[in-house]
Amino acid sequence: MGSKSSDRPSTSVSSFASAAASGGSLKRSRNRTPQNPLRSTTKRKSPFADFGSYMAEKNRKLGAQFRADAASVSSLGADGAPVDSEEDKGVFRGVSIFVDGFTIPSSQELRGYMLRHGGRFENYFSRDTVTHIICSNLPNSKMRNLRAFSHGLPVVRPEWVLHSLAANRLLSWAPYQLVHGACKQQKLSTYFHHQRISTSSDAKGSINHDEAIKVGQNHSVVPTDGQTSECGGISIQVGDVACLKSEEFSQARDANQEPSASNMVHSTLTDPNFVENYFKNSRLHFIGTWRNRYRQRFSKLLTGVKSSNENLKCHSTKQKTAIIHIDMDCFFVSVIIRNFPDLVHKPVAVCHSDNPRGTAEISSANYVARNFGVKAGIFVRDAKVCCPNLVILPYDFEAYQEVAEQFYNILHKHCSKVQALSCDEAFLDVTECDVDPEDIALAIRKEIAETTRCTASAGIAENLLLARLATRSAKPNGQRFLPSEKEGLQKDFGEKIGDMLWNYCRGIDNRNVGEVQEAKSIGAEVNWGIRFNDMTDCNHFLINLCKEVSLRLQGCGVQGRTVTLKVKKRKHGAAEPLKFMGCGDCQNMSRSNTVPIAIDNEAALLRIAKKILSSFHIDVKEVRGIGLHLTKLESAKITRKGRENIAVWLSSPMHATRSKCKQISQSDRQCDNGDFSFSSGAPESGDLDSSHKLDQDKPTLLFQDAGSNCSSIKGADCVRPIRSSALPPLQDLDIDVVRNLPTEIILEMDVLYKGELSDLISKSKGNNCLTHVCSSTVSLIDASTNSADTGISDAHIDSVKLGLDSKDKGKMPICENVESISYVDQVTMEPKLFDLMPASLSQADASVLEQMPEDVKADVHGLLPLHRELKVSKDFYTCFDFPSCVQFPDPHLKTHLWSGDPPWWVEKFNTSKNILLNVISRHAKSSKDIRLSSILQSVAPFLLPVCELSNEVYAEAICWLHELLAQYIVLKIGSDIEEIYNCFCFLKRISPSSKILLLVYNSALPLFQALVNENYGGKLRLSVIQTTDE
Amino acid sequence: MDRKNTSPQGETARVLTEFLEVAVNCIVFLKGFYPPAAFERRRYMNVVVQKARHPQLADYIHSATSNLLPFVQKGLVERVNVTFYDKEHIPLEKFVFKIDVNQSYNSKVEESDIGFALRAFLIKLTVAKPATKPLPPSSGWEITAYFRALPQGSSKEKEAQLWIPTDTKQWLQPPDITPIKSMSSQPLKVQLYLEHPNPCEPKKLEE
Repeated sequence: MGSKSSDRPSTSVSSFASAAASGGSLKRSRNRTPQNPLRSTTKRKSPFADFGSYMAEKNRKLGAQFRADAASVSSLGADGAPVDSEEDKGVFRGVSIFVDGFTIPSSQELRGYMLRHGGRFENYFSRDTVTHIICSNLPNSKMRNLRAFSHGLPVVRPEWVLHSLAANRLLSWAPYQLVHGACKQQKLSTYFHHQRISTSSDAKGSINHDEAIKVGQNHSVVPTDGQTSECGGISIQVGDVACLKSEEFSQARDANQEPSASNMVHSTLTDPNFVENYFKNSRLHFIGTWRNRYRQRFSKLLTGVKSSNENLKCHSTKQKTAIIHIDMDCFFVSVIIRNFPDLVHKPVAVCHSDNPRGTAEISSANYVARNFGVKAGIFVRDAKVCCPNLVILPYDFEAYQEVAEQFYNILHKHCSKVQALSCDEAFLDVTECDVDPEDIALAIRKEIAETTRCTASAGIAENLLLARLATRSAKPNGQRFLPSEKEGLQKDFGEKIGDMLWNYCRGIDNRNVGEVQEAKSIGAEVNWGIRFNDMTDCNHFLINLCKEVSLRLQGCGVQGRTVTLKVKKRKHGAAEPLKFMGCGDCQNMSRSNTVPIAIDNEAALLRIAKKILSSFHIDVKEVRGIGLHLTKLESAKITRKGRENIAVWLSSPMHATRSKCKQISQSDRQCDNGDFSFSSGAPESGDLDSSHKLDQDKPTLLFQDAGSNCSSIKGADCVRPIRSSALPPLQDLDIDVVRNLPTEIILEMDVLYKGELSDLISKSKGNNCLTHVCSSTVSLIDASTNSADTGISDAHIDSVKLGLDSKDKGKMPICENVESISYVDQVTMEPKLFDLMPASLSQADASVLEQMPEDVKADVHGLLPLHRELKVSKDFYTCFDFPSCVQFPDPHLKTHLWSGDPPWWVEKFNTSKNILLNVISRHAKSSKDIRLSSILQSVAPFLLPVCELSNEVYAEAICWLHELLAQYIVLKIGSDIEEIYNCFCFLKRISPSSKILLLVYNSALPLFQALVNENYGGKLRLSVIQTTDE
Repeated sequence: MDRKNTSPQGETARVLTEFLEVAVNCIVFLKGFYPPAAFERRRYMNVVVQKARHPQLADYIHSATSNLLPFVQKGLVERVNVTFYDKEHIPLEKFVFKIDVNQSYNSKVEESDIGFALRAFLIKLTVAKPATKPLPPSSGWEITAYFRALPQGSSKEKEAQLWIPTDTKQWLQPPDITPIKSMSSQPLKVQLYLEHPNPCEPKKLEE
């Protein structure tokens, strides 16, 4: 409360009045006239005049109360047990204390003492009335500006009151002055850390106080703690205490008086117990044997430390180490002179002999003596020459032992890792403690000073050497923190540069020769000559810029993920620059866009650059400079390779089954070469070649190529399970369910199963049912295609093929089951449906043809040449090998196939000479919705490989389909990925049986993935289908 | 609610947020995140859907979706994600509703038209289980809205403050996308797709 009141401008705190000056030692009163207590020393006048008067009144009342209490206490004392005599009452006469903050004992207890012993106790600080400020802790700010706080009054620790009581006289407050540092307020963390310790010591302390008070009240004994009293005679006290404390000392005195006798006593000649005595008096022996005693004493702690040491070794390397080196100040002297406070400022040395001419060696000297040049190890006579006033005291090994034990007790209390160096010197590793090492050192030193009444110095640093050196500079009675130089540098210059400087000034340089720094960004910027008239100029420039950047990227072999476009825009009102075509005064704008996959190609760059540019919303005429940069660079090699690997991995299962499939088909071929057909959708060119030869031998069988019914019937058992990884095995299908599916779906499924499904249905169901299915299918197709008004009617084709099939099957030599032929003929028309045309009329079943209507017959005859040449060339497939098939010559880029209703392409395809495109167009026209996925589904069967078409037809169809799909993707990517996804899924599903669709799929997929990536930041789980070509 | 004065966008947004609430309910049910007993069968747009019975869960979904209304109407909401994540808060599966409300559309909107289109989503959702992945134990889920821009203006700020930044971790690799359903009509375009972590995602997300 008092500390606060000094800050308050209102109260009577601050007035400088002459001191009461009643205390004997208080001669510091200032020659100032008493001032109005309401006037504040602070610059502004107190606005609280009323409050001030209130406080004055309150103080007056409190004073009256206190006096009344004091009177009652003394009267009580007259009757009560602790009788205070008249002289006694005056211990604190004239003393008026003000207690600031937390003290031990509490302010109320102190008030009680004051009451009983004639002192005064002020609740509010006032320069007029208070003579002593009692406090044990002060905040830093007040410590720093102690004078302003205390107004010249002594600031005293509460022990002064207690000790004065114990001594039964007013002691000098000087030794009890609050010292800076010693009273540094504890942090909360240290408080929690040492809570247990401090409470225990508190308890002990209070007990001691009580005893002391009792003792004091009985006024029977000399002060036990040996504090200097102001009026007490020094010499007497010293003598008394010395008598009490140190037997050896008196012995030594005797010896000093009779040097010869001492010689006789301490020589081997006369003393039978020489060795014992010798060691008893040897300081070196004490130090030497101390370690063993220490081990015994702290053995438990030490072992604990060791084990934990090992456990924590790894931790300490990580953390910043903090080492405290603590050393008692001139231990051997200060232990002795702690009982002689008057000797503190006199030169004192410890030696076993006090003979001024003696050759005894000084073992330790205090700092005062050291200033005179007295050092450990010099003879007493030399020391006396240096310092005639040197007081020489004997050893007190018991005291040393006791203090050393206290010292180590304290150390072990504060820290678990203690390395003892000597009886008065140790290293502490406080790395593990989460408290500031300086605070720990302060706390330890304070405790040492309180417990042993000797001072210690501490050095704190990051290693043992520095800590020890720090201690040296800290002595006496101080502590020094040596901050890590590296850290200081890092703090000032940043981590890397700090590290570098630290290394360089030590001659350390770890750089290697020839490390080229990787470029962080690649780009191009043009700031001169940029003048655009319109958007096309700008776009043209952007295209060239992107080309340049793309080239640079590829030149460096990297790809970037973040595209940054910088634009210099003419500042509003800025005139044409002095420099011809320069950029002049510009406003810089910059925006970047990060894409999930690194890019380096021109098209992607352009797309993003345009997007960013449009987001600026600026007039292109104002643009004075454009720069395009890529950052987040990745090595193109790594990314490409990685991606390829993933793609391979993803498609590996399919790949595996494929090759298996091929193997089996090969074995098939081996066992029965008469029955050869393509069983895999993507045969190798070599296979084709051989098959081509075979085909020429057996043209009738060649017709089987797509459906491969022959082999599927014969080798169904081995081929079926590995048909496609996506499809369930045929055996697993529930035929009843399948049979009840809509016919379109059966059709599609049958394509996937290469006709086996219908076989299965037929086998399980028998003739009648199947014919029903077949006829219904045919009628359905008829219905759907009847609307077609150009070209050949599908119905014709269907029926033609129906006939052809049956003819074919009939010819098959390997069909064992003759009975089955009749229905096989009908059923297998389903897969055959998807062959566009038979190769020639000669392959058509004449009997079926005959049953057709006349007009249809005529159409078929007109369409089919009698002999159509088979032109399956190796070149065709090789020229479309993936990935070369992606690069189509593309003349249709500018056309928008999907614009208009119906889309433009429908008409385009319809009028095309390409038969494949015609078919697609027809289906598109017939279906209600123009969604590509549904069109594809309906048209896919007709796109299965047809051998008799020429290369050009294929190429054109693929080219157009690719374009169609690509534009569809661009059209739909923003709104309907589901639709595109469906298209691709369908293409993927159907691709094993259709080379065209496989190629279309593979060529369009990268675009799709790129666009999905751009729009949705991800990719679809679709991968390029690997062809079986090596 | 005064239906007469609502703009086509307002009407659309209302239908959409209502739909989202139902859809989120369905998704949570679909993932089996809570025991089936925590849901009850309801009918929405003549489709059988599941609705959370637990008041807190229902309230969370309802408040999250209905609070989006003003932002959807302004066309600020780009995506609404239902994210399922593991105990490390790393997403395992995201149901993404990509929303686009045409702000310049002025004709009258028939609720039934949009409803019909949205119905398809619910139907597709009920059979989307095979496209999803099973969740590991102690996973969580949340509704996240991605805004095209942070909402401006004082009135909206308060509403916007109800939304907090998500601490769900991001995937480092572009995710795998599985489209479920898309619709594009005027003035509303909605796409629903699944996002799964890329198989080459650095951390082992899948056991």
